[in-house]
Amino acid sequence: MNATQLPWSQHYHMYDYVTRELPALVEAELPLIPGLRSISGHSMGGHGALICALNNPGMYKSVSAFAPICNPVASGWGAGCFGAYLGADRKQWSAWDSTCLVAAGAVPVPLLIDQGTADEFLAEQLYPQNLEAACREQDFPFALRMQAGYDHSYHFIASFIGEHLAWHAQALQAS
Amino acid sequence: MEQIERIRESGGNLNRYTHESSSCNCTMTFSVYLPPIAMTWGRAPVST
Repeated sequence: MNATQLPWSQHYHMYDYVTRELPALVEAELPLIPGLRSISGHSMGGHGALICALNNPGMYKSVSAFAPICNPVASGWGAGCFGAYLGADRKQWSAWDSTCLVAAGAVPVPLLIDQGTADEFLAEQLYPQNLEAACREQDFPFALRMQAGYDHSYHFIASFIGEHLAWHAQALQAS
Repeated sequence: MEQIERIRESGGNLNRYTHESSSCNCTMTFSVYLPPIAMTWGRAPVST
């Protein structure tokens, strides 16, 4: 997100950085195909990946996430961070909440989420079921895979990152 | 942008760079994995 409240607003503009500045830089400097992009992330970064894709139709061919924070306005983590970064006005929060964006009619993009059933943050912070319900309501393509016994760690990511890369490659090659 | 590290990985290179970010108003560090196809064919898609 882009923080609007001091002191975070002095530096914390990661949304602009990830969606605009960084791709422009690497596409200019490195042997990459301009405009052919997908995005993925873990936990808070999974939330970020979802927000980048949902707020920018056409920018990414696909989006995936590992144990993302799917409905931050409903979670303790989200309320704490959003209050600090965006201020107390909750009306400003929904533009940074993937469940709110899908419920408000975000343009569909291929979306894959892996979530461990033994994730210690699943019940109180992540709320993939809220995003799933919004996607069903809006007929938004959505794959939520509940992975039995996996926690929130990088061991979980390591177990499925290969499948995510193959899934993104398919979407990128189809473009 | 300045390259600070190159790590051989899965047949390609994981390169680390720093640059001055106008968005974040500070120095930022990031990594880019360039697969073999980026070196032989010349261009690869981006997965952020």
